[in-house]
Amino acid sequence: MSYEWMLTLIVALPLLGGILNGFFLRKVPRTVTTIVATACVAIPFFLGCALLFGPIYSGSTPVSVNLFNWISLKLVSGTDFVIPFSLTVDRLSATLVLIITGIGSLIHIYAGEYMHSEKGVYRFFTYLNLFVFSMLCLVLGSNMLVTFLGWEGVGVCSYLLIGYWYEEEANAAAGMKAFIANRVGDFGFLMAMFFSITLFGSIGYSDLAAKVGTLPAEWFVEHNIELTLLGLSVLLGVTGKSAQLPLYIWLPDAMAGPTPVSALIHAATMVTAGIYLMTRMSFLLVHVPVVMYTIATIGGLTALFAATIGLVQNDIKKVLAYSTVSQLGFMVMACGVGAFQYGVAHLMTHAFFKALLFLGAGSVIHAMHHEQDIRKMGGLLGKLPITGITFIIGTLAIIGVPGFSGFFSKDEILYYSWSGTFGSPVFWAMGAAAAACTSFYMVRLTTLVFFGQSRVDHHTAEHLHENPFSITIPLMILAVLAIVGGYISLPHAIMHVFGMEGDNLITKWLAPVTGQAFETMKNLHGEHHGSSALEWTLMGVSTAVMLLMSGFAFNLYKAGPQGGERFAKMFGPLYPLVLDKWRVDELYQWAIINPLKCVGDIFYKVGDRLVIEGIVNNGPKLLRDATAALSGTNSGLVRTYLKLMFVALILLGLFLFV
Amino acid sequence: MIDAISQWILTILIVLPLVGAGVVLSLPQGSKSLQRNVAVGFSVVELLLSLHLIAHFVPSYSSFQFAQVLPWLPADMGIKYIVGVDGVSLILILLTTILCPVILLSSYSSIEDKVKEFLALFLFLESSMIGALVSLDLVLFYVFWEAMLIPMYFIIGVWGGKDRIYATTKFVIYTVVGSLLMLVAFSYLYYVHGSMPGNSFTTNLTELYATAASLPLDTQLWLFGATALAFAIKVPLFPFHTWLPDAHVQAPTPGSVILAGVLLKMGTYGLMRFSIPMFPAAAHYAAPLMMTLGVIGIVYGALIAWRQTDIKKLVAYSSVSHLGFVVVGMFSFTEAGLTGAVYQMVNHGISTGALFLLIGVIYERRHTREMSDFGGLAKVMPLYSFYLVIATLGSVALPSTGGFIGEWLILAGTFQASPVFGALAASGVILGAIYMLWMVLKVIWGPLTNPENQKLTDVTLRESVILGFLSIAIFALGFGSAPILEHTQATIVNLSKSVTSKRPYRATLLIPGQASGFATTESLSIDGVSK
Repeated sequence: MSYEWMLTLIVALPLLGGILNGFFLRKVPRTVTTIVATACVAIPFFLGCALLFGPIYSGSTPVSVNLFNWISLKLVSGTDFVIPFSLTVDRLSATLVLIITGIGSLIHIYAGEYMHSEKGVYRFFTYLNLFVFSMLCLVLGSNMLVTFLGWEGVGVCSYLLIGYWYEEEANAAAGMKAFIANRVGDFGFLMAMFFSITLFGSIGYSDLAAKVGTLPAEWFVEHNIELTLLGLSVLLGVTGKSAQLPLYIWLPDAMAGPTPVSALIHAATMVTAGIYLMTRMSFLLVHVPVVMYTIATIGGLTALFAATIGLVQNDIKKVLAYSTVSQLGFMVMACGVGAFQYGVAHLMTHAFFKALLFLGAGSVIHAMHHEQDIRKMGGLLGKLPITGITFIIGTLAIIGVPGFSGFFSKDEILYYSWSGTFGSPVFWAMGAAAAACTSFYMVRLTTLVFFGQSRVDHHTAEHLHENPFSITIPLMILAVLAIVGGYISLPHAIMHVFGMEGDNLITKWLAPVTGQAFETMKNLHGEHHGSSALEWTLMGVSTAVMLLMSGFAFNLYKAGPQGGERFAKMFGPLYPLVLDKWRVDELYQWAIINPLKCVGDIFYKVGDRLVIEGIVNNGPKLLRDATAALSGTNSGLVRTYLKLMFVALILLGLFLFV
Repeated sequence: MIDAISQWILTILIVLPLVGAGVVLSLPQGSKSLQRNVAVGFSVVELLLSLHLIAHFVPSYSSFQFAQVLPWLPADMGIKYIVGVDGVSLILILLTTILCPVILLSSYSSIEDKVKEFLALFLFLESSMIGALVSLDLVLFYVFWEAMLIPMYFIIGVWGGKDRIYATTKFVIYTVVGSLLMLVAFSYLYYVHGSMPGNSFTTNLTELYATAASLPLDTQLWLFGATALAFAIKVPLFPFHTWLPDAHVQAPTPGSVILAGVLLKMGTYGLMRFSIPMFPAAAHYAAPLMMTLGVIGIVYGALIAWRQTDIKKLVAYSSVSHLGFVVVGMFSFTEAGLTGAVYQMVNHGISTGALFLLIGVIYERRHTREMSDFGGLAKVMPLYSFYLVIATLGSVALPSTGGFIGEWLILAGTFQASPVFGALAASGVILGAIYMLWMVLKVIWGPLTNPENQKLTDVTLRESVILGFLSIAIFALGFGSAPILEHTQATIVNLSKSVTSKRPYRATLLIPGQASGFATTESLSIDGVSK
């Protein structure tokens, strides 16, 4: 099989799975549905492996396939403007393909068990397959338009999956909120495309990279405004899809969807699309420092802001949701300071440990008969040993215990947020504070769920037992990955200790993609200003903070939630404010949605009904009264109308001929 | 043989539905299903015949093809029967001939009284729509343009809702006022052309293009204004849109579908066929105003749509918003904007047509259109909900649906002409999602609380066939844009070239059988000959 065929099949199979399950396999047993859906994600995983370890590993030239011309226009100038529907796999997209299909397959297996009591589960797997299809289009598209197909496609699947249990209106409303917030971001993506067309006459990534590479430095100064707007448009797209300030509000609500969905879409894959896009377009973004600083600022603020909300949530999935927003902030910040490869590295490690944590949470919820309040849990480690141990591994990874995956990727981000091309101690401080919060809320969560006395009610406790293998095996696989996934991004300082020279794996691996951006940064701003001493210091500080916060949280919550409540009271009115998520939703409702509704009402009641209708309905009447007054009589209708028409025509004729 | 068919095909397409109307009327009174089947049969034959156009149309020519010129009124008046199609009208004819059988099928359950009369009027309407799309003579066009009003007047007035008389009267008066202005402009042009030295009086559009474009700017502006107003009312462009919600809400389902599906496009088509190419300098001058009105329409229509409680009114206002896109793209005069405008006319016809049919389905079952009367329908009507979600995705222009190609082209073209207008218009993308998803949320999601809704039955096979067909069309248009774009490109390049250089629109008639001489010169004209 040729590489082009493999690439096509990677995208086509999940689509086929969606169509099969959606239309033809509605009546088959649940197992068949699950197997079909899983196979349609697992086969692309193996095809992806074959590509990655074949042509992509050995060479740096990407594999491309042009499927058909999506849009083709003939221009007045005689040239054609063609946007092909084409796919390209290079090192960046190959990496993401493996993450998407690998974790995707595990989650499909898990979901088969998790959703076993659902009627019509084909609907669930149809959406899930279509999601994987869209996500693959997103990362494999050769131009922005194909990426956009995936970009909006994942949005729709997310909408349908969040509202999967649609009989609860809140779930459906959460789906709608997600779609609309995403659409605001999509507006940015559209603008980015249009700016690209205007500036470079193309939206193909390789075209753009080539053109940007050949333009002289003065050109970038001359077109600074357009480029800034382009970059900010990309950022707006990122804030929508990757749940950054100010558009993050949809992600916590998205937890209304089934837990496997939260793990796959709202932790591991879809929400990282923004990181992918920024890395993909890194060659362009680095030309505009203003945009880079803005990206880093948004990322840093989001990381910190969301982490504070995570501190106080009591719903197991909500804690993880805010944690995701916060971790995405880290990745965005990494891109903003110019360390795109560590954005991607953290994307990967986060995909492992956050998918693990969500699936673990799902396992707990499943065992607890849909109880999600962590205050009603406790001491579950004995009852759910595999879930418990893997969850703890996930926690150790996310808080950055040395040796676990999160440690490496997060510490590299923190180091570069200080020392990267666009780094600054301020960004580091935001990141470090967010990391401190992360340690606290994750240990709080783990302690309240798995340690201490059980607070589970009797009825549930009687049925409490570890879940079957189809749930625990994905957990175990992800746990292993959550441990070892970080070694691709070893810090330089540590590499020196072991006598390794040069760049770490991830930097070398992504060099064909990010190289152009690095080159530009080096030319514009010189080498980055880090040192081993700084790296060791920062690493030491964050490890110390992590240990301190974890120990504090464990002590506070080991006897149950009461300790924390007493502690929270010390903060006075701040605590309820944070508990209410800083009331951002209310703010948006008050400042944006209600005024818009009001404008809509005014347009309708005043603009349409009063003004326009007033003129339309009363204008002729006035004219008739006037003519009637002129002629002095109220004689027959026909005559009046004729007269009216006559007058009108004469007036018009006058206008036209004079 | 093929030439003979090609020569007469447009006339056949105009006459066949009229024959159908006559046949339906002559059928016995009681045979409702026979009448319906005969009417559908005629519309299907019409559809099949219209495929001849696409089979034999030469996409690389911008001239009017399948042209036919016959004497009509006394020769010295210069008013003839001239018909022909270019890429734009070709696509709209196909939209019409595809939608008509679909709508007639849908009328099986929505029209129960005076079936025969309804079917005959509808076929008459189809004939006049085709006529308006193919006319290349001003008087002929005017006749068909006004003829469209008659059946529509009765369809709303006889089979409509509670306030049908008010709505239909308003619809007719509004349109007639606009058309009278158009008539004045046409008459003036007729007079000016005829009184130029060496000219004889004529209403042949292809000859008048040059005359009209040669007029001084201020005269052009008056004439452009008069014709554009007539078409803007039909579109409807803000602020001339208030007849539309009334007409839509009162019209029976088939009336709403044909109104949204084809009749509104007559406005945008008119702008593209008459106002812009006849008066390129004026169109150029007025573009900022038209684009402003279009953008206002997008935002204004969307925000109002969001605040409606009647589903049909919501979709009606969404049309104001969507047609705003079409006008904005058209007046960008860029290739992308113009192409997107044509493409979006087709998409809007399909997806909004589907939405009106879907509203009809639940209206027939529940006799209400208030959103608050519904909720949770997905539980009892899963297939219905499936179709509603697809039509909604088409309406919000999700990539993979045709709406996306149309909107994207419009926005790309508009952005190219003016980034500010492009950005403002693109805000409609967000607003569109808000009102449509809001409607979907209130209708099919949520708990099924109303006992009236609990006994609802899902779509029937007939409804499913119709809706399934439109759903497939929505996605087909999302990926297979090539055949349509290929057919419109020559016309669009021609138009864009004419208006941006403010030169007369070059149009020739390509009469089947006499084509040999044209081939070389015509194919050249696409590559930029009017030097």
